[in-house]
Amino acid sequence: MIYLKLFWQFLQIGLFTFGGGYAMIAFIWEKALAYGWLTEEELLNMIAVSESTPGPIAVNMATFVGSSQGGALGAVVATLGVVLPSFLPGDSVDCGCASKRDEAGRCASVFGKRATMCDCADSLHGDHLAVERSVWHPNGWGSCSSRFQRDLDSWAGCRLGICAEEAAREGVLSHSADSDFRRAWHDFIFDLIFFVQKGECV
Amino acid sequence: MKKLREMGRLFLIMFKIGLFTFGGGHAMLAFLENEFVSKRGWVGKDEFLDMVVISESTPGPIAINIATYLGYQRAGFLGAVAATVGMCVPSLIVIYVISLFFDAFLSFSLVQHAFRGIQACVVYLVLLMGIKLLKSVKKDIPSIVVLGTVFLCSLIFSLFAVNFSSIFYILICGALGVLLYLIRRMTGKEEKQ
Repeated sequence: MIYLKLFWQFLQIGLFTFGGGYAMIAFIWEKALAYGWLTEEELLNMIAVSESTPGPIAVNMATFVGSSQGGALGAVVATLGVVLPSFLPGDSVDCGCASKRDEAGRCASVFGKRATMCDCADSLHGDHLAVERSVWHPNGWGSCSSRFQRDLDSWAGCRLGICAEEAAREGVLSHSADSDFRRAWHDFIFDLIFFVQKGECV
Repeated sequence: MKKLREMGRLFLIMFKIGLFTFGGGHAMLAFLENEFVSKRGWVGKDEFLDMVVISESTPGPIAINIATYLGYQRAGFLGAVAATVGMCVPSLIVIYVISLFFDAFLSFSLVQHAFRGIQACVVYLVLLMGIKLLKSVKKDIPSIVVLGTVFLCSLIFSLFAVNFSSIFYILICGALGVLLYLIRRMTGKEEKQ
């Protein structure tokens, strides 16, 4: 019962809040006091915790209130309520057409650039794993590696779009498609290590 | 299968951003721009700006709106789900773990006093955000009228302890905005004639 109540109240909050977490504070304050979920002091603590932990403030606050009332399931339910309204405009506002055009333009430039990258061109046809290794040991590639990595990134981005046929003709991209997810995973781990070492996001 | 891979990538990118960004949606925009525009080139710069504007003017938290939007644009509905879930999961886990230990944590008298200080600071932070937003409001007559009306109403209601939900304020102000626009259009026409 408390789950249903949490979901419904946070769905309302998500639906009627324009402009992010701060605008939500007034609603959550009101509802938490009205339903006796939190005291005023606890609400101030909630804002303090939500602001000083990573992630969107709105989600943090919803999780905090939810878990204080209904444990893990309460946290999930409250967060779901806040998040759900975001899906409403998603289907109606579609700018897919413009993005396709952009992608085509970008692809052309990437393919053009490839011709000038004489040093890297050969390796591009080679083992994709070698490329991955170059991310892990940038010294092995020298100054070329970062630029190459960037190009590879935008190239990977092109794969799904209008360039699919062109890519297939090149016969390169199908080769690296398998390690797509793995690359994202490695990216993630790499950034995690970077974050722990330097204390900032890449 | 290709779609699944794309969803995985979206999930991981959003997970990373959700895990590392402190300070809510607006702080997140810079990281999102870096990931989607500069690093991967999935979204054009102008298109990203459009997305930011749309995310700010649709209901819901900005961070979630833009995550949903980027995910949808990249891989359809399932992409939107993957991106949004990725954005939420770090917060869910972190806050849930904190809330498990929060009461025990607060029972230390040292921590208790620290939080008394932090509570005062939170008031300042929210006030600061309010002032920032106040500055960004357009300085024309309709905005000032709406703002003044809401301020007066909330003041009076709280003085007389009338229970009035904030949701009604938003609904009424939306209607008021439309009304003011219609009045201005009508008077504008009259002036032209």
